[in-house]
Amino acid sequence: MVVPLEYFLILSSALFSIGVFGVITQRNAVRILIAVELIINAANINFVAFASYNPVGDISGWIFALFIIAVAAGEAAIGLAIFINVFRNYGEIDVGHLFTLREV
Amino acid sequence: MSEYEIVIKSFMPIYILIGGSILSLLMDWLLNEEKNKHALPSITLLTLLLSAFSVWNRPDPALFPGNPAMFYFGSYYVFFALTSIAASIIVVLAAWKDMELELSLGVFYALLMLANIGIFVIGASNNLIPLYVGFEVLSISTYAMIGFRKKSRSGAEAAIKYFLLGALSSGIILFGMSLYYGATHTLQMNSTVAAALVSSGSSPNAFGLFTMAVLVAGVSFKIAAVPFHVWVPDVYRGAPLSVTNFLAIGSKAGGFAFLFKLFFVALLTIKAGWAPVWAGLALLTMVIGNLAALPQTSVTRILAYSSIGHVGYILIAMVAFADGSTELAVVGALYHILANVFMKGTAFVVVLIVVLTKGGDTLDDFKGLGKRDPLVAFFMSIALLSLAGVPPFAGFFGKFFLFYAAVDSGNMYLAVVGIIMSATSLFYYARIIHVMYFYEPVDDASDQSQPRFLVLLVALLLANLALSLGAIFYTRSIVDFATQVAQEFFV
Repeated sequence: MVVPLEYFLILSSALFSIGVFGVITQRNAVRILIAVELIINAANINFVAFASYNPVGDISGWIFALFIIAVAAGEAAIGLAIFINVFRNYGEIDVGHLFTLREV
Repeated sequence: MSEYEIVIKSFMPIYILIGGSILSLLMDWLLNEEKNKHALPSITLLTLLLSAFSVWNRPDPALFPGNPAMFYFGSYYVFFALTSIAASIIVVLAAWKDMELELSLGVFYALLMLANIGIFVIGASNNLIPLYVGFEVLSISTYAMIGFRKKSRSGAEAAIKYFLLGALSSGIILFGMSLYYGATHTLQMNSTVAAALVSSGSSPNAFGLFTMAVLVAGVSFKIAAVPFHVWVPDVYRGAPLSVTNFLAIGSKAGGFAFLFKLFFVALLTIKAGWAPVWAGLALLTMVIGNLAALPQTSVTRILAYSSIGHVGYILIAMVAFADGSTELAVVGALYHILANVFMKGTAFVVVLIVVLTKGGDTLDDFKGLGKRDPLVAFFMSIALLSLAGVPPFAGFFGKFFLFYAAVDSGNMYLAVVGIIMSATSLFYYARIIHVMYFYEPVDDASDQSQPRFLVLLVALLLANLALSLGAIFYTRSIVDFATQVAQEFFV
C-alpha cells in the first residue's frame, strides 16, 4: 500500500499551523524557538515528500532537507546562546517583559 | 581552463573571506588584546580588499560547469558583492574605535566576513539550496553580531528580538520554497520551470498563490517592509552602533539580493499575482515608515524609521519590474541600494561619533553639534539631505530613477505617494539639521580626544558625489549595466 502524497501535505500543513500558532501565543523564548523548529520541520517533510513523489525523478529535495537540518542546528545553537545571554542580563527569557527599548 | 580551475577561481572571493575569518579567529587566540586592537581590523580590511579584487577578476560566468549550473557569477553577483564589501569597509573603520574595548574581537570580525560570504552566495546562486544557505549564513552571523556585547542589556534584547523574528521568517521562507519545489519539481530557479505555478493566462494557480503569499510574508520580515517592520527601531537602537550600520546598509542589501532573486527569477511567471501585493506593501511602507519617524526623539530611531521608508521606495521597483519597465526598475533599485550604503553609512557613523562623545543619541545630544564640531555636522547634513532626496546628491537620483520607473510602467500613484512622503521625510531630517545648527551646545565639553572618522566621512561624501556625477554623465553605462543584470534574470 502506497501512502498518498496528500497525507504528507496534510501533516506538514498541520505542523506549520501549529508552529505559527505557537509563535503567536507563546511568551517564553525557548517555546517560540521550538515552534519555529516545527515550521522548519514542516518544510522538511514537504521537501522529502515532494522529492519521493517527484514525477521527473529529481531528488534534490532530499539534499535540501539535509542542508536544512544542518542550518537549523546552527540557528538553534546561536539562538540558545542569545537566550543564555538574555537570561544573564534580565534573569528571565519571557519576551513579553523585554520592553526597555520601546518608546513610542 | 579546466572545470576545476573555473570553479576555484569563481569561488576565490569566498575562499579568501573564509581564510580571513579563520585567520582572525586564530589571531584572537594567539595574540594579546593590545596587539589585536589594530591588527584585526587591518587584516579584515586587507581580506575584504583582496576579495573585492578577485570578485573583479572572476572567470567568464557562462563557463561555470553544471547543466543547469547551480551558480552564475554574473553582473548581479558583482554588484551585490562589491556593495557588501563597501558596506563592510565602512563598518570595519567605524568598529575600529567603537568595538575596541570588547573581548574576543576576532570573533566579531570573523562574523562580519562570514556575513559577506552570505551575500556573495545569495548573489551568485541559481538554485534554492545555495540561495537559502547564503541567506542563513548572513542571518546567523548578524544574530551573533547584534548580541556581541555580552554585558549590554539592550544588546541582548535586540539580539533576541531579531533572532526570534529572523528564525520565524526563515522558517516561513523555507515552507514557501518547499511549495515551489512541489509545484515545479526542481530547485533550480528559472522562468521556464515556474510555468507550473500558473493556471490559465497569467494568473497564479492555488499552488502559485500560496507559495507567493508565504514567500512575501517571509521576505518582508527580512527587508523590514510594513507590517513586518516592528523589530527595526528596537534592534537598531539596541545593537552596537557599528553593527546597526551593517544591518542598515550591508544586511539590507543582502535581503534585497535575496528578494530580487526569488521574485524576479523564481516567481517571474506569476508576476501578475505578486505585483499588486508589493504595490500595497510599498505604499504602506513608505507612508508608515516616514510618518512614524516624525515623533521620534532618538536619532537612531529616526534613522531606523527612515530606513523603513527607503525600503518602501525600493519596493516600487518590484511593481515597475512586473509592469514592464524592467531595465528602469533594476536601475532604480540597484542605484538606490548603493546610494543607501553611502548616505546611511555616513549618518550612522556621525551618530556613533555623537554617542562616543556625549554618551547618548537623542536630539538633545545633537544640540550645537554645528558649533562643537562643524566638520562632522556638515557631513551629517549632507547625508541627511541626500537621504531626503535633495538634488545634487545620490539619494535624489536613486529616488528619481525609482519614481521614473513607476511612471514609465503606468503606476503614477506610487510615484505621487513617494514624492509626498519624501517631502514629509524632509521634515524630520531638517529637524536634526535644525537642532545641530540653531542651538547652543548644552555643555561646552568640546572633547577633541574622541575619534572623528574624518577620513571615512570624506571618503563617503566623495563616494556619494561620485555616484551622483555618475548618474548625470554616465547614465548610458548605468542603464547598460542594468540591462545586463535584467537579462540574467530571464535565463
